[in-house]
Amino acid sequence: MEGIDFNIALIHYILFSGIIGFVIMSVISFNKRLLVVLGTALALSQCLAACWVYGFIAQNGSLSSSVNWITFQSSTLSLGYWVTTEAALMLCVVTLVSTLVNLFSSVYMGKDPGIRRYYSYLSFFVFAMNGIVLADNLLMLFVFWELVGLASYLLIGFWFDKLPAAKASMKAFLMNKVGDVGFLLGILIVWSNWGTLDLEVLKSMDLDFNNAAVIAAGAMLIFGTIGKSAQMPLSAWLPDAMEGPTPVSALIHAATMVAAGIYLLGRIYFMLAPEVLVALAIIGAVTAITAALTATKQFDIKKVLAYSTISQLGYMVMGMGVGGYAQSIFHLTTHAFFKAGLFLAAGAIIHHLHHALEQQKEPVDPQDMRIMGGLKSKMPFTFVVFLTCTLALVGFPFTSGFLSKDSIIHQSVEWANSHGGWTFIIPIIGFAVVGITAFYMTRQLLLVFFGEPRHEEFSSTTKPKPSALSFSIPLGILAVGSLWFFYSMNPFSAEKSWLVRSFSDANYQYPPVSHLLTSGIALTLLAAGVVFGYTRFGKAEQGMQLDEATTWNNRLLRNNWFQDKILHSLVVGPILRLAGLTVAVEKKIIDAIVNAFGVMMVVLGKVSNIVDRLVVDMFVSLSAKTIGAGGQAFRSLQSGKVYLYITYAFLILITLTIILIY
Amino acid sequence: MNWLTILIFLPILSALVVGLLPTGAYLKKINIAVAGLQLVVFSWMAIGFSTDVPTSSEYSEASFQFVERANWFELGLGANNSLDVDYFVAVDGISFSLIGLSIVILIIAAVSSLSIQKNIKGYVVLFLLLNGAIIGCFAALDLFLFYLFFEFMLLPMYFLIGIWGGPRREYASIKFFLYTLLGSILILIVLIALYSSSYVPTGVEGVYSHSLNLIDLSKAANYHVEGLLHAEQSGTLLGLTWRHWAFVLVFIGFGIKLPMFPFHTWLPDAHVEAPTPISVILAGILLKVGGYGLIRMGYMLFPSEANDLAWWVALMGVISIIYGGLNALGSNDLKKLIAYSSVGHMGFVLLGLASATSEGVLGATYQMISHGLISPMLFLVSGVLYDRTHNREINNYSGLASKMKLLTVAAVVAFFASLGLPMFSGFVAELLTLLGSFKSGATNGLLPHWMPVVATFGIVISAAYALWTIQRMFFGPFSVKEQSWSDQLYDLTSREKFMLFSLAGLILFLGVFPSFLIDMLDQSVAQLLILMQN
Repeated sequence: MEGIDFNIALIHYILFSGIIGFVIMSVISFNKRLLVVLGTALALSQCLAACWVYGFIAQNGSLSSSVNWITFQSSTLSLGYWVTTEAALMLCVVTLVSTLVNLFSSVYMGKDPGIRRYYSYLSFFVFAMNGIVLADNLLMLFVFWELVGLASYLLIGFWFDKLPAAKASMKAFLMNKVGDVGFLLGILIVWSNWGTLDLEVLKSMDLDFNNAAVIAAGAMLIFGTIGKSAQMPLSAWLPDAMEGPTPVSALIHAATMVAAGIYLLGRIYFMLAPEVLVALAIIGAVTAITAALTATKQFDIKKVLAYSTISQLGYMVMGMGVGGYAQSIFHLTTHAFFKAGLFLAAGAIIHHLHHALEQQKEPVDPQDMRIMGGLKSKMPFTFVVFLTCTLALVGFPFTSGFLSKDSIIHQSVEWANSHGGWTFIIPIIGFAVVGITAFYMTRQLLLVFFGEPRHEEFSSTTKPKPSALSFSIPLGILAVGSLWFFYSMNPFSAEKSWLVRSFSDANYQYPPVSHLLTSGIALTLLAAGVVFGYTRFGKAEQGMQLDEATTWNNRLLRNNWFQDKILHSLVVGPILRLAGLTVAVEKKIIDAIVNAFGVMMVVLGKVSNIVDRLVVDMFVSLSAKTIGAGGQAFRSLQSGKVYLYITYAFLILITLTIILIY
Repeated sequence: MNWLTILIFLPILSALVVGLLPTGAYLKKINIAVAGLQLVVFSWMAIGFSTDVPTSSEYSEASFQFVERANWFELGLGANNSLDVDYFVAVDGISFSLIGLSIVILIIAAVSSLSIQKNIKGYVVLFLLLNGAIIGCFAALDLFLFYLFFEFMLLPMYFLIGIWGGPRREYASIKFFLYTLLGSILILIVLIALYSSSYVPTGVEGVYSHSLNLIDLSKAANYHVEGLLHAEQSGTLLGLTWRHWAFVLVFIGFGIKLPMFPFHTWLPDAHVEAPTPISVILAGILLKVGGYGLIRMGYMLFPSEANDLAWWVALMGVISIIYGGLNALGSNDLKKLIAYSSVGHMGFVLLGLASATSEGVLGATYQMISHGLISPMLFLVSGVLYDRTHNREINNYSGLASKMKLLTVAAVVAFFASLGLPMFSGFVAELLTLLGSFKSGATNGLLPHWMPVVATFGIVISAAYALWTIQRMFFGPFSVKEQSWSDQLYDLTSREKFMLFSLAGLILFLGVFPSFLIDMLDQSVAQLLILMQN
């Protein structure tokens, strides 16, 4: 086919420019302006290349190419690309968001002394993320999977001298590692059963879902998703990850890396047996509702968004579980834009407040919504962006979120319809989360933008400086990207969306369950959520008082269902106690035996020494000479002529061996 | 003269020369020069090294390269009997790559030794002798010669720890000596049994010799029918044949060196007390002698017995992985933590070997090389701190990253390499080991699936102690226990940069381009596997 080589070259560029950028930026010290231009230009060029590749793939079908990495005897572990439409789309999403975040960071991180480190980490992250997207086999996927984990670790802990940041980065990496080990076990099962890790080859094998190995492989592989996409029970790391710089939260912990779990499910969808899919639907639904509930009680502007991200990821996992493959990928895409928009808008707010609060004597947390309020008039543009993205998040018509969320819920209803029985709980949860989402976002909007400013410092400060272009351009693009028209000409149905069509059956049709009914229910719940939110937080002070009260449900939700406590008492504590136990075993048992053995030897030596002396007594004259000579030898050892002793030892050794052989 | 012989005797002869020279700091540079020269010779050999040696149904001289064989001594024993001991050195991919590793680590250790001030001449002489013994041990194909070099490593090591070590150096060095001696005795017993059972035709009609030549011993035909270790010998003890017992003794003997639970307790003490360069050699090379000995004497001579006992070998590996990891998690002394991490990582060697699959055995040998680079790097990191403050308590430091940027970079690289992050060599090794040991359950049925599954918990544990250490020592706000330390904590010197970043480079290279080493190992591992799978 025409142009394959060129497109492969572009793909090479998209992948490797990231790592090259990382190396260059960490080795050469640029001035700040050049650094920012370089970082943004690099990301933009990747984005353009990705769009080109998307165009090519959409027309000509998927591309693949691979090289051998490790070859031994008859087996090969390879590295390669498998660029399907989904992959190309994901490349576009990743590189576009990364371009916007690079631009946004130029001001946000402009005064940070570590900005060079920051930009090089961003570049490394994009490299690793693109590697996940492109990988044509499970091994390469795993390799880059771990590398994004590293990038995330480095960026969460970017301000490493802050203890909470350092702890959050460790928590994120370790909890991900637990998921990754499950993923790795899945790889082991695949390798030992089918002797290949290549996704295309595995897909062509038409695996039998009755085979226990297939079920086991799928069940282990989805642990990767549970860790990376912060699903229950491995979700507690994502809220803490908000310790990182806010643009990083937008890029990594909202738009791209956490969505990699969903992407993984898409890649291995052909391997997921029905049992595994049911498990996914349950995990996703549970995560969606628990995280949404937690979000209703948070006071940190970023934490609300973080729990919302977990909840939306839960939707996507649930969507995969109920057979909505295309719908989940669609929601992944729309979510990437509106959630990145929300985070960056929050970043703009935090940035503004941080500067307004700099002169305060007592440190005030610029992320606390309790000190905000009334920002609508001070940051009108940010408000519009935040509002647009919020509408998309809650699934308001004419936004992208309506299209994608609607299609997932619709699919779940259809799925429950065909399964019957208890399975209806899944769509019911799906509907409930729509209402809860509307509620907590209404709460956030009211607390942040409406009412009177709740901190004397803000009421006195005049309007912030007009936002720099590097703030408003990314925000504007993300807000526009949260509207419907980019995805589907019909604002009320994704059925004809080019995006959904491009990676599903050409004849894709909405399942027969009445579309109007599901949309109607969802919109009613949405309205209910908004109304309830307004009645409660229309007067912000009252609402906050209610949330601050020490009732059991406030405590439960503010502490995220005590997940951290449970984790500590059930996992971390026992492991540390076990470690203490092994240290004690080592000291008190193993070493004690060894030392007792040593003491026994010394006693034996003393005994033989006594015997020796008795013998010596009988040959006094002889012994005098011997001792004298021995003392001489000993003294020369003491005076440091060690090599002499070595020579003796060597001679003795040779003599001994020869005697032994005779 | 054979290049291998040059590699072995260059340091030994240099030791003699240094012994005659007056003492002075320049001797330390001679030490570096000798190792550097060895690297040149090794590189020259590497160019000529063939990665495409054909495998056959049994070992022969053709399985090896750079063969040099000369009759050393011959003892007539009765009419038709004799003991032939050869000076027989040669390498296959496994030993060749280990020699390469040794030379690299010796250079690093020699550079690190520049800070040694006490009794320089004695130190350099011992160092050079150790150098020669190490190379000799990896090159020897006659068991007598192997054993000689093997034992000869013990003495310099004893003194290097006992004289240049820390406050509890005497306890540590005696513990090290006794433990290793115990291992040596077990190996010696097997050596004698092999000697007495071997019955190799000399070419002269009716005349046989007791050979200790490894190639001869690897063939069943070369054992006397009544010999204790003949394959068909029916005598048993506790249900195991004598050949099984021989494997068990070899396994324990080299397991002590490896080190393997519960014979590992010499290691933390030896490491904690040893000076940094000696820790580097100990972790980088001496532990690998244990793994290598197990392959050469255990798996090459007793392959089917090894397979019969594979379950136990793997079990010890898995216990070492978990137990070592947990102990590392519970350690407060940085060097002790690294030492226990070695116990855990070397457990993968046992697991991989026991699997008797290409992936597993390749992974085991890869792990030896990889750990031989990563662990020294970790010890150098701890050495940097110890040099400045004479303290290694993890809890006495916090937020070092704000003061020592480059050391932090090195520490993060080393710890992430240690926890098996992709792109670093440890990942390739552990991945192959796990692939092999898991596949073993499905193909040859030697290992149950739960073993690799438990081993993966070890990976989580190693991530936990590595990250926890980084977080406690390097991140957070800067504070140290003694006020005076904060002035002493300057960042890396150029010498330290050289050592740390050249190791980091190698670790990265082997992690990104594993085929460089895999190609070298592949045929040799395949040859070993042919024996094991028979």
